[in-house]
Amino acid sequence: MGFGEERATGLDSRGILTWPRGGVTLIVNHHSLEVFPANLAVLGEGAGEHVNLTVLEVGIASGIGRGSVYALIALSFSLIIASTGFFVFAFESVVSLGGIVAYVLVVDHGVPIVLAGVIVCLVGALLGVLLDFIVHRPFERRNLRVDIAVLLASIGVAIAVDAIVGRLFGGTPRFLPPYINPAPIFLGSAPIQRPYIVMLVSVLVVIVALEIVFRRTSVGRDLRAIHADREGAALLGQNVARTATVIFAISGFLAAGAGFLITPVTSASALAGSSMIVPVFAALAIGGFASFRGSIVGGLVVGLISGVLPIYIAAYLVPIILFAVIVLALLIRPQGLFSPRAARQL
Amino acid sequence: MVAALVPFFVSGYRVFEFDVILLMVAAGCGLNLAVGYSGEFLLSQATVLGVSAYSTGILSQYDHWSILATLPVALGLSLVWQLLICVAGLRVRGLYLGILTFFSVLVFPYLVYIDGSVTGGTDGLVGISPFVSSGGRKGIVIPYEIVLGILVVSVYLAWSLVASGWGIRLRYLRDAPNALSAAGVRVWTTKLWVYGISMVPAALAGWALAYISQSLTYEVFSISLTLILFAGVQLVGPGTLVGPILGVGILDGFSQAVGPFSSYNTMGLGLLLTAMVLLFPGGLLRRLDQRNALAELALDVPVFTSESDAAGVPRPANAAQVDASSEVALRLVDVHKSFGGNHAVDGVSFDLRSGRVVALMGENGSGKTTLVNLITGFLKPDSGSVWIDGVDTTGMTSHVVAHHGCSRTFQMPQIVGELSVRENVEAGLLRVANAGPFTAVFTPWRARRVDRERRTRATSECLRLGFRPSDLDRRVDALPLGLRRLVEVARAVATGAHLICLDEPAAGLDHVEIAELGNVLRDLSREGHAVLLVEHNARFVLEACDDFILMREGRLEGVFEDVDESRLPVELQRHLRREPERA
Repeated sequence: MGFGEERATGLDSRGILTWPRGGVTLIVNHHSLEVFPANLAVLGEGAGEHVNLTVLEVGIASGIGRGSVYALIALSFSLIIASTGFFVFAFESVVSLGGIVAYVLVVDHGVPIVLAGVIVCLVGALLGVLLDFIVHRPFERRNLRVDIAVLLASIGVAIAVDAIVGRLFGGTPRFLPPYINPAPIFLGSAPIQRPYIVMLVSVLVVIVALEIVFRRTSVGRDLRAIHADREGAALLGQNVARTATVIFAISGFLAAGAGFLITPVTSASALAGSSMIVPVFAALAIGGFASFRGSIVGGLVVGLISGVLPIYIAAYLVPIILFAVIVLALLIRPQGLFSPRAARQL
Repeated sequence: MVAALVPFFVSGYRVFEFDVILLMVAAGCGLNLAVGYSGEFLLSQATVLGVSAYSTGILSQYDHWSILATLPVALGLSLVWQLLICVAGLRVRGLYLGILTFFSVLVFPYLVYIDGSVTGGTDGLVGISPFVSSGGRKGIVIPYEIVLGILVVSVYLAWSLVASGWGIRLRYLRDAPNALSAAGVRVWTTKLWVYGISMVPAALAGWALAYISQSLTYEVFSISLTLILFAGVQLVGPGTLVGPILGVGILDGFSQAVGPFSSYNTMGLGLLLTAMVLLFPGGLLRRLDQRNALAELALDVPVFTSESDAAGVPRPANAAQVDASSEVALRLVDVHKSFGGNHAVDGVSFDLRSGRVVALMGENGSGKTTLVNLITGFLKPDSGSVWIDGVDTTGMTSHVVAHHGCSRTFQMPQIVGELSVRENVEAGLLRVANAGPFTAVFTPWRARRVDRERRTRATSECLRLGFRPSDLDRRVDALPLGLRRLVEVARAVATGAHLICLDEPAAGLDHVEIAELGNVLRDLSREGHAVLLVEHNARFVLEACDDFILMREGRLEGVFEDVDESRLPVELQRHLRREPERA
C-alpha cells in the first residue's frame, strides 16, 4: 500500500486537504459533512491547522465513526427482530425523523440541544407505538404470513413518510449545531471525533442494558418465550400484543435517538435514514439479525469497509460491495456470520 | 382487441405512456409467477428491467447493434443479474429474500455510476435510436405492436406454465416445499426455474423500454417501479392470471397520470401499498375466493365413501401381493442424532419388512418424528446408516431418498389449499409425469398429453384409496382438517413409494374415517408396501398394525412382531396405559 503511508501536508484556504499522490481529497468543511458516495471527510473544525495523517488512518477513523452510526441503527432493528421476528423497514423513517425533529426543536424553537435529544427519543417511542398500530397489530390473529405482511406494510409506510417529509421539509440536508465539541480525540494518530465516541458509548450502554434485560430478568424470559412460540406464550396468559407494543416503543426510542446522535455526521434530512439502510442491513447480516452484540461487530465491520475501501477504489462501488457482502453472508450463514447461535433457523 | 387499436385514436405522448403501462403489465405477469404462484418474494424486478434496458441502450447507441442482436444479450444479462441477486434465496426464508432483493433496488443507482461515461451516470443515457426511425404515425404504431407482442408473450408464458404440472409444482413450492421434496422434486431446482422464468417478461419489457423511451435514467428503475410491480401483483390477485394485469395496470396508470418522477407518485404508491396490505393481505380476488371456500365448507360432506359405496370400487387388493417375509424395505443400523446435548435418537437399529404395517410408538419427545425425518432425508444422522430397499441412503437429501422409493406425510398437513384433491395427489406424480418448462411453453400439446396421463393416474389412485369421484375436484381448503391428512396419504402413495412413513395420520379424524384409513393401510401392505406409522391412537394402531416399535428417550424399548390384541406384551401394555387413549 504505497501511497497509504503518504503524509498529509495541510489544509488550504477552502478547507480542502490534498495528498501529493494517490488522488485522495478530503473535504473538511464547517460541519465535517459526510455524504455517502463522497465519504472521506472526517475532520471537524477543531482538528487544528496542522493535520498530519496517513490516508489509511483517516479511513479507519471514518470507518469507526460510521460503524458506530450503523451499530446504533442496527441495534434498533435487531431488537425488534430478536423479540418479534419482524423486519420493520419503517424504522429508517424514524431515524430520519429523529434528526428532523431535533432540527426543528433546536434551530426553529431554540430548545437546548440536550433537552431536544430527550424529546426526540420520546417522540421516537411514540412513533414506534404508532408503527405497531399501523403495520403490526392489524395482522395479528389473521391467518397469513405476518412477517411478510409487516415487511410490506412497513416498506409502504416508510416510502410514503419519506415522500411526505421530503415535501414538507425540503430535500436539502440541513445542519444542526453539534451536541458535543466535535474536536477529535487521537487514538494513536487516528483522529476519532467525539460524537462517534458518544455513539459508541451509547451503543455499548444499550447493548449491556438489553443483554441484562433479555438474559437476567423475567421480562426478558417472557420476550424470548414470545419469540420462540407466540401462540404458546399467549395461551400461558402473556399479553403478547402489549409486549410487542412496548418493544416497538423501545425500538422507536432507539431509532430516533440514533437519528439525533448521527446528525453531526449525516445532517438532518428526509433521506438520512434510507441512505443508511443498505449498510445497516449488511451489519445485521454480518452480525446476526437477532444478536445485540452482533450489531456492534457488524456495524464496525461495515463501517470500516465503507471507511477504508474508498481510499483504494471508487466510492460508489462501496454500496455494491456491501450488497455482495449481504448476499454472501446470507448464502454462507443465513443466521449471521458472527451469530453465536448456529442452531437458529431463519 | 380494443387495446390493439389505441394508437389510431390517440397519438404522441399518450401512446408512449400506454406503451409503458403495457410493458409494466407484462413484467408484472412474470413477477406473478415468482411472487403469486411460488411465494418467492422478489422485489428486484425493477432492476432486472433496468439491467435489460441499459444493456440494450448501450449496445444500440455505442455499438449500433440491431434490435434483434440486442435482445438475446439483454435477456442473458438480465438472467445473470437475477441469479446473482436471488442465489441467496436458495438458503434464506421468504422474509429475508424480500429484504435482500429490495436492496438490489437501492444499490442499482450505484451500479449505473460504475461507468458513467457509458451509462450517462446521473444525466442518463440519451439518444437511443427508436425501433423505427421515421416520424409520423407509422413510427408510433410499429413499436406499439412490438409492445403488444411482448405483453401477449408474457401472458402466454405465465399461462402455459401454470396450466401444466408446473402450476402444481410452483404452488407447492409456495405452500408446502417439504412435501415437494418428499415427492422427489428438488426444491432448489424449482426455485432456480422460478427465478429464471419470472425475469423473462421483465427483460423483454426493459429491452423494448430502451427503444420506445429513447433515453434512460436510473430513476426509472427505482422504488416507485418496484412498488408498482410488486404491489400490482399483490393488489388484485396474486397467483391468478388476470390479477397482475389489472393490478399493475391500475398502479402504473396512476403513476403515469401523476408523473413517474413526482414525489406524489412515491407518496401515493407507498400509501397504496400499506392500505392494500392492511385491507386485502391476500389480494382482492383471494378474499372473494375464500368466501366461496367457506360457503362450500358449510356443506361438510364426508370425503370418504362409506363401506357400502367402497364395495363398488374394485380394489386390486391381492393382485400385487408380494412374498412379504423375505424383503427388507427399511433397515436402520445404530442411528444417532443429537441436537446440542440432547440425544433425540440414540442408537436405533431395526428392520422393516415389505408387506408390514408397523407402528412407531412412544411418548412425546421420545424421538419418533426425528426418526422419520432421519429415514426420509429431512435430517442427516450423526452416525449409523439407513438402508431403503437394500440401498444405503444415509445422508441423502429428502428428494433423493424419495427417488429410492420412500415417501412420507407430515404432522402438520403439507398441502396446497387452493388446489383440488386430485391436483394435490398429482403433486406426488410430478417427478415421473411432468413436462419440462421448455416443453410446457414451446410445445404445449406435449405438455397436455403428460398432464392428462398424470391426471388419470391421480384419479385412479384416489378412487382406489376410497375417495368419492365427486370429491376429486373439490378444493382441499374446503375439506375438514382431518380429511386433509388423507389427501396427504394419497399423495404419498401416488409417488409409487415402496416405503411409506405416516406421521400421525389419524389425528383429527373421526372413528369412521380412522376405520377407513386402517383399511387403506391394510390394502397397501397387501400390495407389498411397507408402512411405518407414527401414531398415538391405541385403538387405531392395535387394529391396523402388524408390528410395534416402542421408543423411549431416543432408544428402542422393544420391537414386537405379530402383536395380537388379546396377548399384548408387558412393555406395550405399560406404554398404552401411560398413553391416554385418543380416539
